[in-house]
Amino acid sequence: MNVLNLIRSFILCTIGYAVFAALSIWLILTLLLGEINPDGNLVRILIKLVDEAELDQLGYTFAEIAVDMFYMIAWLNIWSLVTTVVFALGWSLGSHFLNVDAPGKAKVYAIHWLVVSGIFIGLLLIINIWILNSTRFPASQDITKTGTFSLTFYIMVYYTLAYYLSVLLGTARFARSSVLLANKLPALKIL
Amino acid sequence: MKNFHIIFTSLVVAILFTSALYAKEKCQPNFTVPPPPKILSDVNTNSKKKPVYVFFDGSLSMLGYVVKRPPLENLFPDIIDQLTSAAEDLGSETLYHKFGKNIEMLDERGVEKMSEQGGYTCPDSNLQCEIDNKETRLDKVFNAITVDKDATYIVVTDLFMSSKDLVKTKRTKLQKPLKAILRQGKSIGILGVMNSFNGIIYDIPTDEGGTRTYANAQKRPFYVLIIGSSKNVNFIKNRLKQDALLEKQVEVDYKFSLITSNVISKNLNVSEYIKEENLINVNSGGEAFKLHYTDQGLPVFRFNISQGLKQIEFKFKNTDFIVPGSNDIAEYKFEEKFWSRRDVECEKGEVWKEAKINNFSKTEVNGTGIDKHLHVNIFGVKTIKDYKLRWGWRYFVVTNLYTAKIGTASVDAFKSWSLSKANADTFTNTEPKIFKTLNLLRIIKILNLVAEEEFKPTLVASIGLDFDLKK
Amino acid sequence: MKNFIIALGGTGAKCLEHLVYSCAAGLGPEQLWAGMIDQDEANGNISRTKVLLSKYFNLRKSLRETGKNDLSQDSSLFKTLITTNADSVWLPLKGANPTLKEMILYDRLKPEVQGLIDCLYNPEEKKQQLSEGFRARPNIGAAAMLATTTNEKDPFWSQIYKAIDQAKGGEEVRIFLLSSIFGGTGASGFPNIARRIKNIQKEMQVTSNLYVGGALMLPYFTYEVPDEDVEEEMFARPEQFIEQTKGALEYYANLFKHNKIFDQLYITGWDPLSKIPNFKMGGNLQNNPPLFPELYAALGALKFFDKNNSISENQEIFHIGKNPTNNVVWEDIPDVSNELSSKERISRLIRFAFSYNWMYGPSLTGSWARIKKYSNENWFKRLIYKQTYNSETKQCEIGHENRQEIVLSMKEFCHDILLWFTDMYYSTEANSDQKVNLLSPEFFSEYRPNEVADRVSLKEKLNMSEKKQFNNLITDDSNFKLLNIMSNICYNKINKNQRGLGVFMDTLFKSCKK
Repeated sequence: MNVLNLIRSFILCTIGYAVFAALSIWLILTLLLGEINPDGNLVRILIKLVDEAELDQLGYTFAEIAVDMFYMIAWLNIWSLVTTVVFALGWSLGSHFLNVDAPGKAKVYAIHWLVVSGIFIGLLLIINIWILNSTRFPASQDITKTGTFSLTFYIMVYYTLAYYLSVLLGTARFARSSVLLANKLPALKIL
Repeated sequence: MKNFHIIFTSLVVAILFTSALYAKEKCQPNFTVPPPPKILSDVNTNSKKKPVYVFFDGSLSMLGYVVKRPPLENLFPDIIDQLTSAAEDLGSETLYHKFGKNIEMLDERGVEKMSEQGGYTCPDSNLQCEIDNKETRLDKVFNAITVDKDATYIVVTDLFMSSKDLVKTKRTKLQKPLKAILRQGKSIGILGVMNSFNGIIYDIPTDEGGTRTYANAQKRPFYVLIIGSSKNVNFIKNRLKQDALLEKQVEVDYKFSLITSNVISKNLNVSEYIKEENLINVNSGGEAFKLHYTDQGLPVFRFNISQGLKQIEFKFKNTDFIVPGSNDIAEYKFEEKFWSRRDVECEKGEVWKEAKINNFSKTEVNGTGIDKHLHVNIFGVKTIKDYKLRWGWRYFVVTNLYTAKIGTASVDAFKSWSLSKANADTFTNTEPKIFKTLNLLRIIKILNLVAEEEFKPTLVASIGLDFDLKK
Repeated sequence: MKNFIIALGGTGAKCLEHLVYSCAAGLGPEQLWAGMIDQDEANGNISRTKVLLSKYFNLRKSLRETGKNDLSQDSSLFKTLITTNADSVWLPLKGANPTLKEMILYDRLKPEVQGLIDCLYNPEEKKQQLSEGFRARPNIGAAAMLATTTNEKDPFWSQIYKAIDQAKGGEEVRIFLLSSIFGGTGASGFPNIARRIKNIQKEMQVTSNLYVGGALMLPYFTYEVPDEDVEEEMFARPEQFIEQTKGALEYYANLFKHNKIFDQLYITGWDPLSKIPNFKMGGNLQNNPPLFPELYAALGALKFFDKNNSISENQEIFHIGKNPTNNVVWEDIPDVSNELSSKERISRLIRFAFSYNWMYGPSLTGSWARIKKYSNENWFKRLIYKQTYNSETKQCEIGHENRQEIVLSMKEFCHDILLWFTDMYYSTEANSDQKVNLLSPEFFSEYRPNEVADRVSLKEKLNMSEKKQFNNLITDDSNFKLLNIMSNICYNKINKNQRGLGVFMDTLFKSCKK
């Protein structure tokens, strides 16, 4: 397999998820290391995920459990990002090894792509469930059911988009027909 | 010099260690525990020094108790006999009285006559006596009871009171002295004995509004009212039970109820009564399990539980803290608080936070008789999970259990012997062999009402919980 | 530089066939004029080579149409511009089937000369009709060759004269002869044609820029002659080949001692001789299969023509043989030059032919309605759609007639490439202990040695497992798969100078490189 083609796929794939990853990394670093403005939008969004009344009943305010919450959200993003990158790169690089050896064969591998994508989405869901519902992070107790659902939904949409865009760009040219709508991409030199 | 260094270092280490231990041990929020109720601790149990007053109902309707009706056994004379004996044993002196319309003192012969017909009939048309034995002025007896608040009073009567005696001023006359009695922390014991009867029952109300008599009853209950401290009341009752009611050829039908405004015999914190065994759904064999009493006398249970546990459950025997024979407790109430902290080791810069949730515990009574138990379920109103307690946190709970309402055990006990005014005529027309007591329930309810009015919530127990909620 | 190649006889034609395919692979020079000499015009091998030359020429022409379908100058595919005369075959003796006697005007000769002729030729030989060649009689052939004149106006010889003239003008001219040392036309024509050229050179007083080379095939095949074919017929007897060769070699040894006829001479043979199953005396039934040693001659010619081949003043004689074992391997195939690896180009050509014939050709065949199902695939988009899109009609013209002609012509040519190499494989191995470890054609072809016309047939379609064996097609342990080709055609850069179907063809060809 031509190493240059693999590198090209790697680069294109990375471009695909770069914007998403940049935002994600910024969020992770902010949550783990940065000084967060308590009146800022981030806190305003996170507060909506918790049941303040419930916390109040226990004698707590959001500020007192905020650090745990930040930590959990940061790790949620870390795991989601890692999974997205692994699957996106995995598919993009792996597509070079799909046995598309004749015209019209790439479409057959749509099944493979769907399976891989399905596994990715499933894994993303499991990560969300594990982090937000299990006993791994104490802050998972502070999020309401609605908050869990919302967070899961947005995480899924965000990282699935990142994954899709990166495989759209990064999939081997000859295997593009296996990715939904990727065959609509123009045959440009850079792609 | 070298020795000095060693000693100094050892001291420092010891101090630090102790401080650390002390600090760890002292991982508790600031709280106060209400002291045990004084009324219980101050009760003067030595009645030997006080007199006993005995009042015999001398009305004509009592005559039937002293006339035999074979083959039925007549317990009345024996009970009178045992009663006097018990009274003599109880008090420093025993003073006997007979009452009807008025109260008169009795000498030894007079007491003896109360077991005979002569105690109830009037000799040679004694007009005064004829008037006197036509009424039963229990209110006068109760009034007399308030004179000596430390004495014990015993009243033997058929408690057959007409409705007119239980309303308006007459009711008030009945209630007022009773209130005074109960306010003093005294109790009223009612011992009812189904006895043979061979006589006339007077003043049975008819449906037309008048009264009638009935002479065909073979059995009818009489009552021994014992008024005094619950200890003395139980003394008399137990003596009568032991000596006159038990071990008869035919089983005796008797009932007893104790009416008091304070049914709690003791606070469970006193004498460190609460033990590990009282906590029934947490493994006391667990590593972290510990029970210790604070300086304030609060038993603090330290343990770990998991989220799966719905509530924390204590079990206490009713007989350990409720006056036997009393009306029991119908309702309990809690005054409780809990605090939480987000670390279990008390090391980080976390503090105890007081929760706004209260009234999270409930009680449950199971069993009957001497097997009756009180279950105290902390977080039992919902469940630990429903209160959204966080795992990984440490919790400190202080629960104070109070009585909230007296029970109505006596009503239930005597229900079957009671005859209402409305049913009296109809009942009599059935030619019953066993006659009931008119308005018995009304009397008992009046007594209960008075007890309730004088009721004050009493602290039964205070319990402390210091637990970690595990995943 | 102007290059000329003359293939003498059946063997020469077969060597020329190998050369044409090698040129298709890009091993040849920029330009080459090709001609054949054989008295047996209907010879199957000659006919086949003629057809091949025509196909090559036409296909190359349609793929070098500037602005339309253009492989461009940079492409190695069909690099060499091979031209021929309208009739690429020169018959030494034209006319209706003359005998030797007639040809040398025996009846008009003086008696003493007649006597000499009688000594040199037996009565059968004098009576032999020469329309089907000289039947392995170089003595006849030589006489026939010498009897004809090198007419400058003759279309065939006019090219030679032109070439020599160009040499005179300062342009380098290289002429190469392909022939067998045994047999009829080749054996007789090889030295005589070469000397004829040298004489013309002398006549035209050309002293430089003209180089003559040749490849001489020593015996490399044999065949069994059935008894029924023996009676009253003169034909090439294989058992005489060695004897003839010995005599010829002695002749050449003496010749070269005194005359520098060839600047470079390539000699090759084969041992043991390949056994050809069919014996045919001549005509279109003489359709011998391509054999491996012929490839040596072709590559020798291409080496001669290579611009990096500096020709010494002294005559150079090169000989080549394969490794001593019974296995023929890729390493036995010599490179044309340091820059041109024969193994790489030929194996690439075979892969190209395979993938085009069974994969891409069928996808591009038919109307647009049929082809458009591939229109979303990257290779199609970049190599076909974009390149054949008409912005005026706003249509992709791959389904149009002129494009389809090229598609089908290429398919045919690829089919021929596969047949050629496969036939060479089977025929070289047949009836011998030889193992040709160059490719594994069994999964896509069938060999029927007794059928001359359809000795080798290719499968119409390949199933999945057969296609999977593509990586074993060329026995070079490269594990080069169809997937690699697909990947390469999607990623290889497109030459800006290429147009139309030239883009796809060249890209596919480049993508078949390991």
